[in-house]
Amino acid sequence: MVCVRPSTGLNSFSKQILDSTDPVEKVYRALERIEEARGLNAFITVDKEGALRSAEELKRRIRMGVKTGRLAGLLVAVKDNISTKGLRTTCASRMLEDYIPVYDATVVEKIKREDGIIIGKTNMDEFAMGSSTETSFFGPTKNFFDHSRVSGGSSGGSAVSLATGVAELALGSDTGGSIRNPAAFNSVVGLKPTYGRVSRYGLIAYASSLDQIGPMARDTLSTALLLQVIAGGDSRDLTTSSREPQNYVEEATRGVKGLRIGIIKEGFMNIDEKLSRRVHDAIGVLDKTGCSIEEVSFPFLKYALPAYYIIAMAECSSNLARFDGIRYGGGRAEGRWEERIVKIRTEGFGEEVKRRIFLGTFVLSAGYKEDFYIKACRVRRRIHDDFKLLFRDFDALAIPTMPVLPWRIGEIMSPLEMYMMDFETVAVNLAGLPAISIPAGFVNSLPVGLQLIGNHFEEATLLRLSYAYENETGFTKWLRIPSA
Amino acid sequence: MSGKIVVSKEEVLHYAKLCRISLSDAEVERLQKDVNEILEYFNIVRSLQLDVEPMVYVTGFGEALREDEPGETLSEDDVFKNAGEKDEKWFVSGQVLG
Repeated sequence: MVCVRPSTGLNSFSKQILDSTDPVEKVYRALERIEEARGLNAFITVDKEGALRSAEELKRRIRMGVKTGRLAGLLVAVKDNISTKGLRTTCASRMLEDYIPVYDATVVEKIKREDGIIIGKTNMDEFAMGSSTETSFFGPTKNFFDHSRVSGGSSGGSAVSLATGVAELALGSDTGGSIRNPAAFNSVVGLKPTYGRVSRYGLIAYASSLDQIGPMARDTLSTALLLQVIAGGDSRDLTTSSREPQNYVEEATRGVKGLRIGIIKEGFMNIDEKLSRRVHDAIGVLDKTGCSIEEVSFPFLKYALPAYYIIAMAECSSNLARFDGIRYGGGRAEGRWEERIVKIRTEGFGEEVKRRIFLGTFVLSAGYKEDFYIKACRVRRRIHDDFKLLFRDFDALAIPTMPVLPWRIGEIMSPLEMYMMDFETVAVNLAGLPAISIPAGFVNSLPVGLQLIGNHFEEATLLRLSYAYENETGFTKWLRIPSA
Repeated sequence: MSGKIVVSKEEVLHYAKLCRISLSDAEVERLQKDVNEILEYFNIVRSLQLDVEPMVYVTGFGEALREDEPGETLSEDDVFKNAGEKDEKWFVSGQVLG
């Protein structure tokens, strides 16, 4: 794969990529690589024809000297819960096994408009409900560094498509950590933007007040570039902000001298000592770059996880009520209306999805709503307000991305134990904040992620820190991608 | 308000019915065990006394409101493209009445 190391702004960044490779050849090489790495199960659908068609068209335009877009020739992997017109979008569920969207998500439209080449749709936990990509109807995605372990999730396929060198950019979605977790577990960069920074139009909803699409890549500037393309207001998603996106690529290179980082001490409690030390060491690198670092306390953080699950499940039970098999995801209309819907939902949803729909229905039911759902929404307010207080004194907060190393496939059997894996990531979604996971090195040859959390719409600050850290550590070299 | 909630087998069946999901006996048993374990964990939120307003969405709405004018819509073919079963311009569902 071509290694791009841009030092200046966006235009030269795109140009270097463009000059270096024939897009059609690049697609063929990626297809070969997908074949080689098939055992890792990163893709649900590979769009060979579509990718080759886009590459041919781009090549023709380059020859003619027509101006090309900001992602010209870059290969993009798209999580399979993001709608792609004419290209199967399954949400890794049997329910949508044959579903072909009739429109593109806004983010996909934007990528195509900028001449990005969509190479395929990536594996994930079913309906993004999981932390390991093990709940996929199509089987788990395996960790790049140890194939017996999980890739993390729910955007596991997107992270592995990057780690294996197939894609240069990837889209994930993050409801409670689903971009950051697999980024950490496969030593790539994953950014969950501020809620409302990126349109969710065309994202198949799990929990609408928490879901956010975001960019993933092997390096900081590629992440910044993809964010720059997909960010912005959208009249088709009324939760988006009309605030103008920044030039994130330029912003990322601005330097970090004087930035104030708070280390959330509660994020390091009850976690593996080696992992904790590794993350502290990574934060130490930022210390060297001229940031000031201080430990802070966030005692209320412990309530984020149960509050998150109550809210996410409540919203999921409502969002997934639409799957009745009539407009999509169904077979022949045999039997009575109700029996048919029950049959389709029982056969179409996997165990974890059913469990979350069930619990969501329960916490919203008469007699329990005030006790669980409303109470969780009060916790959400408190978490949000506590974060805002911290951001009076700090530009970013640091915490591990994951409390553990990638576990063995099938090792975690208890649903509650699996939910606990999201301890470090969910508070960010409750508060609608941006957060990035960057490679923090290895423990026992398995990757660790450092998570940096920013104030609302401060993605640029996170990218600056990530870029400074990348320059110090050269973390892109930690991925040992076989040369094609 | 913070006493332990224990969901019975009958309640599992009741809520599953509301979810339009059917469960085998073994699934009822497993779900009951999981749900009671998870609800016990949720109790730490239930027992909190917080004097703040609930937050449902982080952002306010309104920024993206536009004039209510007709825009582009899906073609008929597109609307029915993924239908389980259709009859000309109708989605076919199971029998509702009778």
